Amino acid sequence: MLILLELLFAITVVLAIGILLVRLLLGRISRDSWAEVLGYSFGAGLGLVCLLSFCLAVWRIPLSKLNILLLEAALLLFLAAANWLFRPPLRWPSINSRSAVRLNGFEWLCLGVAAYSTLLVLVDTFSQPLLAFDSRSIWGMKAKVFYSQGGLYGEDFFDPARLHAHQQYPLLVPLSESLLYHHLGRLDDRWGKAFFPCFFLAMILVIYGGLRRFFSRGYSLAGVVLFSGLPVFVIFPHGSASSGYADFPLAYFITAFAMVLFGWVHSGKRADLSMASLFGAFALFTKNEGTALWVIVVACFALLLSFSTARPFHKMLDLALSCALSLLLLIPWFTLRPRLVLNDENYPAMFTPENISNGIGRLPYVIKGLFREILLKPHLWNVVGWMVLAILTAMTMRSWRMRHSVFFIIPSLYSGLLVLMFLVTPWRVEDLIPISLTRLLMHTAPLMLIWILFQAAALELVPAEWTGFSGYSRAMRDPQGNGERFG
Amino acid sequence: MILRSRLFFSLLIGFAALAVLAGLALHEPQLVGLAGILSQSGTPNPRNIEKLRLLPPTLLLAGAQAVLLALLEIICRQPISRVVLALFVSLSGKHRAAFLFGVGYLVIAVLTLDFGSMSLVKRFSVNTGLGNQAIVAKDYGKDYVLVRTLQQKTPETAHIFIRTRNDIQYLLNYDLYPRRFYFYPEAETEIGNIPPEWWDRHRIDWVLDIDDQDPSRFILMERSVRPFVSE
Repeated sequence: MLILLELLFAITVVLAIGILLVRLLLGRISRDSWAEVLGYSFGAGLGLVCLLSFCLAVWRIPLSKLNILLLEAALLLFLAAANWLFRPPLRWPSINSRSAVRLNGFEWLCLGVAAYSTLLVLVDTFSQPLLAFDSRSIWGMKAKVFYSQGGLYGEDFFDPARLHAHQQYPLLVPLSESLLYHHLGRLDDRWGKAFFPCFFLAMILVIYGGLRRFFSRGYSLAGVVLFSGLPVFVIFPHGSASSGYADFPLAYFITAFAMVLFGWVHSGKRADLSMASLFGAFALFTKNEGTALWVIVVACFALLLSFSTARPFHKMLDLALSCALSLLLLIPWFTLRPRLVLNDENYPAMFTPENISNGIGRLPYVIKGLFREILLKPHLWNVVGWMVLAILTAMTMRSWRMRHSVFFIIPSLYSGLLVLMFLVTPWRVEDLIPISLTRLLMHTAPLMLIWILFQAAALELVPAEWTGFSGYSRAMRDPQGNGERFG
Repeated sequence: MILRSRLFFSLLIGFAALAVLAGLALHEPQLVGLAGILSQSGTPNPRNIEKLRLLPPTLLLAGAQAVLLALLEIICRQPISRVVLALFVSLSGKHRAAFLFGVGYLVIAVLTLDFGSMSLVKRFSVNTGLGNQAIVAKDYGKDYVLVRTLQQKTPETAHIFIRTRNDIQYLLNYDLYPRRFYFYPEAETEIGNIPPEWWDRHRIDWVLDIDDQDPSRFILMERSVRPFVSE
């Protein structure tokens, strides 16, 4: 019982920090954006606490329970004071009419599926300690080191002969686990996974909130069902939300990053862009693949701006500043990273024309594996692959030009990069694909689901009165016409 | 409309019958074959088969849910079929295709949740009352003898030289923390050819040599003491 209280306390503190941070960045929060705000707040709060505790470790300040609590208290005080000084007083969301919350049968069904899958992830998380390979050997191991040594300057991180898988991997997930160990006061990897179901719930809220900017409540909830009914996120033991792998947190940060940028393209508000800086930095700090994804997302949105904005130069400049801010936030990590031992894959260095041409013989196997993965594995991907194919066949040139195509292009480019990676990898591709492809595709799967929903609405594959989609203008104001969503 | 409602009812019962029949028909040989088809490598492995053993009860559960839904339809005078069929009739061709995709997605989503539920039920039935360490021990299976031996024979402060290409070394590193495991960067080097200063620099006091094929076969020795050889 005490453990549950301690976990609840840790989660509440992180969420409170996140809410204050998001409110400070976005300004007044309107009644209809509660889902988005809560969804972003968890990731923003956890990312910030982890990044700052990493800074403490880099500056040789011991990561003890006292120091962690002091850090959190200081953050809460600072953010509360900044909110009090710079933002209008908080008004709790009020429900004016009962009809605003009255759900129809379909919406109840969607909520039921989402709630049940969240419950499954929650129970699955706490039903056993960490058992999956990477969750122990990579992320869990680093978390143990952080907790036991109170930092990273012990021999574990820097000795090339010390057995330590993937020493150069980013540290957000291990730091989040060690944060819980510090709150609990002991190493217990059954409870140290407590942030993972929170990521799942936060992802549901981000997807719902992001879609709600453009679509009706029912259609947005259908989007939630698409996500929470995808087996790979719920029951896949080597990467699902409860597995302790870093893939789901990365999927969350990348989805939040892309959704915030998409919102910014439409609202034009720098507040959205400041959120993008945070989520971009956290994605970079979660997994090495985050770097590739970050580059792809930024490049895609830069391309989108150049085609769809009246004054692309100003917007590009804003985007560049936002990217620079993300990189600035990670200076401590970038300065430490070269000092960490690189004793395994160095993929950026492997992408040479020679390696690619040498690996071209693997292409048929890789492509076959990719299609087999997305089309013939309903126990992992439901019918997502078939939905994508069906929509692609129904698409016209005009629908390619719509802005939401960015949600298709990002996963496609990333998949292309994965194919290249499999061509140059030093490992046997027949061994590597079975254990890694599913997890790697998970990173951008939520964006693909979002594209499916947008495209189905744009092509009117779903009746317009169901989707409530009337172009992108809705994103700039709230449905009640009470002014802009983020005032 | 009555005919259509009966069609909906028949669809539910048909799905239930199919699920129950499939659940009853799937036995070990079929599950092994299915494991081979579903795995990316094309060959079944014990963990896949273990997971697939949950498929028959999952299908039976899904069948029971469909029967329950059909009964509710009768008792509540077909509330779902009326809404769903009226909706389906009002849709045009492409909308119907999207609708069917949605229904298919929902069915697989429900099967996923059923599978997850059965998996948890089985886990609780097997793991109830077990602590973290006992669950981890079960997960290692016969390889746990290595973990137990290291726990019993070496102190937590041990600096252990480990030689194997088996990935179990990473799990040992995690589960036996704070014991420190070291490897010699040039893996092919014979133990006798490793420079003494390397041993001294890392203060190696134990040597662990694990069979690359079978981790339950290993040699553990304290430096300058008689080796412990596994059975």
